[in-house]
Amino acid sequence: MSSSTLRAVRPFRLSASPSLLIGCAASSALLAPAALAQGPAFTSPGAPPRSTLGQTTRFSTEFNPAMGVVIDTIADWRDTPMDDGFDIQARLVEFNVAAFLDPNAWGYVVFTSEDLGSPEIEEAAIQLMGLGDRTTMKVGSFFIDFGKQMQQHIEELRTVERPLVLREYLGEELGGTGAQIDHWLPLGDATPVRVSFGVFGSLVGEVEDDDGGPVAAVPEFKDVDEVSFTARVTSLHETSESGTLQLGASARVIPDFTFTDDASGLTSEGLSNGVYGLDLTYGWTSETGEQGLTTGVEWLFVDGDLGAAVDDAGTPLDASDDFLGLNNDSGMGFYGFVDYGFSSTDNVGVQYSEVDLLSDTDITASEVEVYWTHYFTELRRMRLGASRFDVEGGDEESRIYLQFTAYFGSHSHGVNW
Amino acid sequence: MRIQILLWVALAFLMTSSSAPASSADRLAVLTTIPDLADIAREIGGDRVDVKSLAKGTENLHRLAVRPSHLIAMSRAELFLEMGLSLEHAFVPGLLEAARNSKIWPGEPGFVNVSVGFDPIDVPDVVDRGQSADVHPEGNPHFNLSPAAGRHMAQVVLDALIRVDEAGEEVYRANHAAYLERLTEAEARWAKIGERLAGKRVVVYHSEFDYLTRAYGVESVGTVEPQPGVSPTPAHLARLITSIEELEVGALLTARWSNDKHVRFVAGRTGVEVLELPTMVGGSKRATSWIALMDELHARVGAALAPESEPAR
Repeated sequence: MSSSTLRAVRPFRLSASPSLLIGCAASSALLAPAALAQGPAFTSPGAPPRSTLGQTTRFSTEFNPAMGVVIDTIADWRDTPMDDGFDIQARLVEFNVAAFLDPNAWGYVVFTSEDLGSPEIEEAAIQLMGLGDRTTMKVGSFFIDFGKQMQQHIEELRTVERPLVLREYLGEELGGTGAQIDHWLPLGDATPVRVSFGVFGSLVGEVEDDDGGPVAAVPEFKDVDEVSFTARVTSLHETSESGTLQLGASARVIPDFTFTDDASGLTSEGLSNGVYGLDLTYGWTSETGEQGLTTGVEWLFVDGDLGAAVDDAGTPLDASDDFLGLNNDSGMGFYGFVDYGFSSTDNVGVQYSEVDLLSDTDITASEVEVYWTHYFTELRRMRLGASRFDVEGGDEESRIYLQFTAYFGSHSHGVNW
Repeated sequence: MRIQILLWVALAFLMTSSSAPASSADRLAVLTTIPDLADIAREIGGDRVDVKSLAKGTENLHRLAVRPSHLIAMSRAELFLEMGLSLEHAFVPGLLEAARNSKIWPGEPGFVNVSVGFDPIDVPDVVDRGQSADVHPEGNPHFNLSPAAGRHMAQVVLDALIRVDEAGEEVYRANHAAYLERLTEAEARWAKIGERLAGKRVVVYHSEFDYLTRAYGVESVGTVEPQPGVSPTPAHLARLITSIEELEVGALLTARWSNDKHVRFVAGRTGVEVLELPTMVGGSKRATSWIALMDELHARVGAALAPESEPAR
C-alpha cells in the first residue's frame, strides 16, 4: 500500500516554472502598454514607443540589478538504516538579483541549483512600498511568512537543516505565488507589532513521489474562499537594556485541495488542512555587540486532511473495490534552541525538535543537533555539527557534517522581522 | 476552526489598537546613529528638539544590535542624521526600509548624511574584497574621532535643523555660535597636546583612530587585524610583535569591543601599553559629550605617547 502526506519531503520548488513566467510576461505584453525600457531600438509607426527615461542605450548597464551568489557545500558522514558513509556535495548554489523598479517598488529574483542540477526559480517577487507608511505589499512567488524560519533560505539557517517539525508540517522550504500585505504599528516606545496576511494560488509543497502514492494539489480554478492563505502577528518587546523578546503567532491554511493517485485513478476532493504556530524568541547582546545569546521555541499544531493512502479493501489484485483512505487527524510538534555567540566570529548551539508524524500522528520523531559556527569574515562561514534523528520504535539516523558557505556580491531577500 | 477565529480576533485587535502619539508635539524629533551626533544636535537644537541616538556608544558600530525601540524611533523621526561613508551600513538601510518613514527617506530633507562635505582618508583606489572584508568604498568612516570633525558636524547639524524647522533658525544659529566658542577653546587644548605627538608611533586594532593620529603626525605602524573585518592569523601577530619591538611603539590603541585575546597576546609578548579608548560619546564615563570625548582621547594618548615632562620633537 502506498501512501502520501501533504508535507514536502524535498525542498519546495515553485509551481511557477520559468516557462510559465515567460508566458505570463508575454501575455502581459499583449494586454498592457509596452515595457518602455525594453522598447525597440528604432520606432516605426505602430511599434511600441521607445523610452526616453529608461536605460540610455540598449547596451548600457547602469541600471542593472545588484547581483550575488551563494555557494553552500557540505561534507558529511551519515549512518542511516539503509547505508552509511561519507559524502561531499555542493548542496546549493544560489544566484540572486535585486533592484529598485522605481522609488516605490523593488524586486528580487532568486535562482537556485541543488547538487549542481538545473537551476530553478526559488523566489521572484516585487515589494511595493508606496501604500503608506508602515504598510508594504509583496507580490509574486516568495517564501511564506510563518514563524521565525520559514522565510529564510536554507543556507541562512542557524543549523544545517530546518527544524524537523517545520520540515514535517510545512516542508524544507515553502513558497507560494500570490500577494502578501504587511503592516506594523508601534505600541508605546519600544513595542512594534507586525501583522501580515497573504493569499496564494497554492501552498502545497511539491511531494517527492518515490512511492507512487497519492499526490496533493489544489484546483487550478477556485472560489475566493478556497484560496490558500497565511497570516502572522508578531511583536517585539525590550526586556532590558540588552534583551529583546519576540512573540509570534502564525497560520497556513489550505481550504481546498485534492489527493490523486495516478496509478489507480482514485481522487479525493474537497480536502483541507491548516498549520498553526506560536513562537517565542529571546535575544541578549553584550554592550559591545560582540557576544550574544539567542534562545527560542516554536510550537506547531496541524489539523485536517494530513495524508492519503490507497486501500485495497482486502482483495489483492482486484482494484475495483480499492478506495482512497484519508488520514484526517491532528498532530503537534515543536523545536527549541539555544545559540551562544561567544565572540564576533564564533557561535555554538543546540537545537531539539519533536513532532507527531503526518503519516501516523501516534508516532513521534525527534531530532537533536549541536553545532559550532565560525565566521572567517561575514562573507565566509564554516560550521561543524552533529545531529541524530529518531523515529519512535523505528529508524535512527546519525550525521556529522562540515558545512562551508560563501557569499559573493550582494545578498538580499525580502525577509520580514 | 476555533483557532482560526482566535487568530482573526487577535489580528483585528492589533489592527485597531491605537498607536501611541509621536514624540512631544512641540519638539522636533531628531534621531542620530551615534551619540556624538546626538550630543551636537542637543547643543544646537536646545529645547526645540527631542534627540535620540541608536547607538549607546559602547558598541562596535559594525555589529550594532538593532532593538525594537530603534524601529519605532526611526518611524517617528522628523530628522535623521547618519555619519555616512558606510559606517552604519549594517543597520541603517534595514531600519529605514522597515520603518517606512517617508520624512527621513534618503533624498528627503529629513535625511542627512553628515559625511557629505568632509574630506575622508583612505579612499580605496580599487573596491575589491581581496583588499579587505569590511570595504568602505567612500573611505575611512570613523571621522567622528577627527579633531576637525566637530566644526563640520556642527555646521551640518545646523543646516539640517534650519532646513526642517525654519522657525527655529534664530535659536539654532545662536546655539551654534555658542558651541563654536567652546569648540575653539577645546581645539586649542588639543593642538597643544598634539604638538608633542608628532613622530610618535602606535599600533591599532582597527582603523578607528586613524583620523586622530594622522592629525598630529602620529605614525600607525601596524594593525592587530590584518585588514578591517579579518581576524588576525598567528603569522600576522608574529610580524606585528616584531614591528612593535623594532620600531619603539608607544601604545596599542584599542576599543572596548576590540580589546580581546589578540590584544592581550601582543601586549604580553611586547609589553606595549594598551589604551582601551572610547570611540564614541558614551564609550567611557568621562566621554559625556563630543568635546569631553576628544578631551579624554587627547589626554590619554598624550600621556601614553608624550608625557608633559617630555619635550616636544
